[in-house]
This record gives sequence, C-alpha cells and structure tokens, in this order.
Amino acid sequence: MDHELSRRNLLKLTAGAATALAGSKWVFRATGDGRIVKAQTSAASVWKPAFFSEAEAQQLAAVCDTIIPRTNTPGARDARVHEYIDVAMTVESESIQKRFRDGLSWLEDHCKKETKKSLADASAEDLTKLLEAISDKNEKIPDGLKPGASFFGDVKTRTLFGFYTSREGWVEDLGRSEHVGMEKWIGCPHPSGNH
Amino acid sequence: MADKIYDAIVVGSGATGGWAAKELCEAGMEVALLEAGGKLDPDKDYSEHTRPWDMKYRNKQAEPALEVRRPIGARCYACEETNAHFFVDEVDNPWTTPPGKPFWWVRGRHVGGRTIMWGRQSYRLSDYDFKAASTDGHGEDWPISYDEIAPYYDTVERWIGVSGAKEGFDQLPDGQFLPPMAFTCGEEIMKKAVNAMGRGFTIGRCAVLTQDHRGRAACHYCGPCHRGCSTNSYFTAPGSTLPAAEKTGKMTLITNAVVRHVTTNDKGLADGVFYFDSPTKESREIKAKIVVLCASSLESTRILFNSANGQHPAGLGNSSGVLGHYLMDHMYAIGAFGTFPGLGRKPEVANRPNGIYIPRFRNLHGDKQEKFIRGYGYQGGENATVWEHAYAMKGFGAEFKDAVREGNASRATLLGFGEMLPRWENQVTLDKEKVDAWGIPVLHIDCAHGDNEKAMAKDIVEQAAVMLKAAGAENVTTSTVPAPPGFGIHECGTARMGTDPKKSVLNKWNQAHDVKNLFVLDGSAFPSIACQNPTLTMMALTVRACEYMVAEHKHGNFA
Repeated sequence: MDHELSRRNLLKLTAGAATALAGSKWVFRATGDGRIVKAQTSAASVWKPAFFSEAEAQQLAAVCDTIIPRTNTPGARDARVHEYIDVAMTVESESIQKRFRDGLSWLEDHCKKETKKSLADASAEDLTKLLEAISDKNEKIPDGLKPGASFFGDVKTRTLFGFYTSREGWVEDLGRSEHVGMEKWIGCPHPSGNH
Repeated sequence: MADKIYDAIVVGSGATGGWAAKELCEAGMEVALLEAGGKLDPDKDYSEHTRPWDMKYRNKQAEPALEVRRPIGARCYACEETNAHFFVDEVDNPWTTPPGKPFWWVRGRHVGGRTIMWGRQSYRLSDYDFKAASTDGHGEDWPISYDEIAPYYDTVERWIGVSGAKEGFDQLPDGQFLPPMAFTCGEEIMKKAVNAMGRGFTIGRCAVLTQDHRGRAACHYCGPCHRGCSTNSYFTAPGSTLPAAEKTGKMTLITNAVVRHVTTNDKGLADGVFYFDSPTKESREIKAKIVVLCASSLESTRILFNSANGQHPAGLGNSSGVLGHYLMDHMYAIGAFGTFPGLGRKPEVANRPNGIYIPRFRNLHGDKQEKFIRGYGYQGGENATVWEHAYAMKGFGAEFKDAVREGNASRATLLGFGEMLPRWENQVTLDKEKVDAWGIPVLHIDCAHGDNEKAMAKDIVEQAAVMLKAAGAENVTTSTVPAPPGFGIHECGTARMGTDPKKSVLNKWNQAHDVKNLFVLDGSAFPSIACQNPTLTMMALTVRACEYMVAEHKHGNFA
C-alpha cells in the first residue's frame, strides 16, 4: 500500500481535525490552509485502555484494522475502533467480558503458533490469512478453530459498529455529512412507480 | 402569597397540563401550574444533533449510573445516551406489581412531561370507538360522541400542527392537517398491496411541522426528536402551549412541586393541594377554587387515592369504587419485519420522524372476528440502510469495505397497536407499605393481557406478515410476544368518565361526579382505549373541559 498517499488523503479528509494514530506518539494535524503539521502528542493525550491491557489493546487494534483496513479511506485503526471497543467493554457483563477476552487470547496464541509473532506485530498478509481461516465466509472451519470463529463474529460486529459510528467511517468512508438534517424530506424519487 | 387563592391549580405540565394552563389563563383566570420536576434547558439538555462519535458509548447505552436508576425507562427506544435524564428516576419514584405480572411504567418528570419524548403520532377516535360498547357489549360507551369532540380536535390540531393526508376513512376521521410527509419506495409498494386487500394505508399523522407554523420552524429532518428539538418543530408543551399561557401574565409556574394530595374543605369540595418541594422535601400547601389534575393517568389516580379523608374515605371522587379500575394500555411490540429486494438506492438519511399508518380493519365494515372483539392499527414503514447491511455480509477486508459503501438493504416494519379491553381486574391500588422518596404511598399495579388481547395479538402478527408478503417482501420474520402492559406508554382508564355516577368517576366534562370543582384531564378519563394513539384525544378533551370550566367559573358555580 502507498502509505504516503493514503496518509495525505486521510489528512486532507480530516482537515481541521487532529488525528492521533493509535500506538504512535505522533499526532498529525491538518491546518486550514492544507498543510500538515506533525507534532509529538502531549503526555495527557496518550490513550490508555480502561478494560484491556496495553498488549491486548494493540492486538485488538491489529485485528480490527484487518477487518476494516485503511484503503483510500481511513481504516479501523485510524478511527480508533479498538478504543471504542475498550470503552464499550467496561460496561458489559462479566460473562461477555470474559468471552471477548478469552477469544482475543485464543487468537493471540494461535497467531504466535502460526507466525511466531504477536497479533500486534504480525504482517497484514499474516493477519489476513489468520482471519480467513476463521471468517464467516469460510464454510468449513475445522473443530480446532471453532473458538476463533466465534470470536471472529464477536469482534467483527463490534468493529463494524465502532467504525461506521465514527467520524472516519461515517464521513470519510461512507461520504455522509457530518452535520445532520436536511431542508426537505424527499421520500420515494420515482413518480413513475419504477422503484 | 400564602393567603392567595388561585382560580385554578393545574397539576402537571405535559400535554394536557400545558393546554389547561393555556386555556384557563387565556380566559383570564389566575392559574398555579405545579410540576413535579424542574425545567429543561434546551441549550444544555437537548441533544438531537449530537453525533455518535461525540458520545462515549456511541448511543448504545447511557452511563450505567443513570441506567441503574431507571431500569424500565432505559428499555424504551427513546431513552438514549444523551437524554436518559428525561426519564423518571425509578428509585425515587417506585411502584410495585404482583409476582409474574410486570407493568413497565415509563414517565418523565420535568416541565413538559412526556411531550418532550413522545412519539408524536396524532389520530382522532371515531364513533366506532366512542360507541364500541353498544356494538359488542363490552364495557361502557363514552359519554360523548364524535360530533361533540370534533371541534376540539380541530382546535388542537390547528394549534399544535399535525401533518397528514386526508383519506376519508370513517374509522379514522381526517383532521386539520399540514402537508403530509412523503412515502419511501418500499412504502409505495406496501400501500398498493395493502389497498388491494381493501385496507387503508396512509402516512403517519404526526405533530411534526412540515411547514413553518405559528412561529415555530418547519422540521429539518435530523431524526431523533425524543432528544429534544431546538427549533420546536414537533409539539411540546414548553415549546407551544406553556409560552402562550405565560404570555397572559396569569400563570404561576411552580416547579419541583411533588403533589401528595388534594385538600378539601368542610363542604367536601376541593380547595387546594398539598405538595413537597422536591429538593428540600418541605411540605407546602396552596389554595384555589378549582383543582385540575393533569399528572398522567396513573399519577392523577394516585393523587386521588392519597386524598382520601373522612368525607372521601375510598379516595377523592371515588364514591363509585371505580377509581383505579379498568387500566388499559396498547398492546405493543408485535408485528413483522421484512426486506424489499432490488430497491437500488441509498437513503438520503434515514430520519423522517414519522412512519406509515394502517387504520383498523377488524370487526368493522363487515369484518367479524370470532376470537376477539375490537381491533388494531399498524405503524411502521420502510427505509434503506446506510451501513447496517454490513452485519449480514460475509467476510472482511478492503473489498468488504467497498461493498458496504456501495450496498444497501431495505428494511420494512409493521407493528400493531392493539386495543386492550377495559376489565375490572386490571387495577391500581395504593401499596400498603412502600412509599416514594417523599414518603408518599406508591401504586400497586396489577395488570395483564386477557384472552381477547391474546387472540388479537396472534392476528396482529399473522396479518402483518401476510401484508408484507403480499407486497413482495422477503426474509419476513415476526415478533410475537407483546411487551408487558405499560410499555405502549398509553396507559389509560383508571378514573373513567361516564353518565352513571355509580359506574364512573368523572362526568362528560371530566368533572368528578362527587366533587364539582375537581377535574381530571388525562388518559385516566378514557372509558375504552381504542387502538389509536391517545394524546390528541386527551388534549381535545382538555380544551373541551376547560371551556366548560371557564363558563361555570364565570357563573360563580365553583364559589
């Protein structure tokens, strides 16, 4: 992927806003005149997970970003989806918390076995391969990977919600307005009846 | 101040309290309007434009500290992350139910009451409803006919602004409408199929402005009305009736006034109310020539029970023993869902604050059901998803992401609102032990759906699926179990009106048979609930009762 191009695209789209890249001590700010300012984040703005450990959070970020990767629009990491999931987890029941954490831990172990690396350090290719094996698109998942398949459903649902309710997902990927409301409700635009 | 005697005290500032204050003040009467809660500040409390990414939980839920104090209210679709505080604190304001018979009571305590979070659907009742008992023998007719209430429906609709389409349905009379909102593609398709079955299908009649109206701006279609509206584009008491009352200079609004009971004089007439200042819990009394309860069906009933005294041992206005009985609510949350294939479009934004309406077709116009009497209407509609179809798509990654952006799914819904029969055994009484945060005895609510409701519920679900399928919907699924009573949030009937003082609490002017200067102007007056949303009828009855009250007051009949 052409990272420079993607980043420029991303920053152009978030003009005026600050984009803190997760796991980075840098923050990129797009100025009103189109310049990009790179600055070190202040200590206060460094994100700390409330539910996950730092290591888990980075593993989760890698998984989310594989589900919704950065393309010519932002991906799950850009939208800080793992940060949303972390907050959402704090108010879930203990059984749901445990199920999610156990699932992530299973996938991390599986990743280490397959690639000798943590999810957080695995390559995009390796992560894609790992998830393909447990994806809902895969109709023949061997019994040994079943715990992974169940986690895939859980993390995918949360990633989709977290991404499409983020500004990055709604405005920059879907191309919807960041403002609400419209002058007129149009309704069906097909007076001919050909819907 | 302590010695002042108002012309009238109005208890409650919601849909009917706001109207009572307006009508009485505009007639020149001095009115004290008591509200149990405080004032909402639109700048601070209204949040209809807050985007999900600016909410901590992305509007999936409210702060746990808020939810834990309103476990029932938090289940309501309108209770969201930024407005949970619009819903009553159920720890301070409890009620009890028998084991296994839940009643999900949803309320708001603030100026405007539930008009802030209401669903805005505004339908007229017809003589099929007012005279239902004469037709099928169950319960009692209303003491009024459609002709008697029609002019007051006109008055209310003209003032609050109701958008809708004139259809000529005799079971759902037309009103004074602002231009209707448009159907979506799927709704056009549904309308054809439903009409072909001989059933009506119209755009929802709702108290949302489709054009500027009486100084209020037309709707800007942002979507979540229940979080408050900065432009007052749907009807609320604080955005419409209360400013009109205030303008007269005749209204004294007393907030945080938790009314315990109505006080009476040695003639047995009402002469004021006893209340607690909410934060300090200090007791206070104010006096008036007329007492008007607009506290919502169950709260007004509770106040009447708590007003029992030597002259009125069973509760004020309860010589009939009917007070608290015949509780009703609409059967809710049952119906069908489906998708219309091949509607290639993206919704502009899925936020028309209104749906469609299918008026009652059961047990009228020649239809005769063997298993149940009365009928039901449907609300719902169809729209396309912006991204939610992603949940049903398989896979992940860059291609998946592109497919979500390009795709959409149609989602159609038909949910029935079923008429619940008035039955003696569905009743509220005072709980003998439990009190609220101010030491006031709370209600024990004993209410369940009966055989008629169960048979009707089955038909509601079946017919919803039949109509969706007839329209060509796919993947049709159903919701078959009604929510517990209360959750329709249309509770009615516990101080019903009627011609016979032995069988009713109020007369045809919402005036207590036993106490001529006591009026109850909310849903508690309904002898039957019909299947239409009740608020418009409550407001029309209020205007009608106030006209009577003003005339009687002028003649000195309350002195």
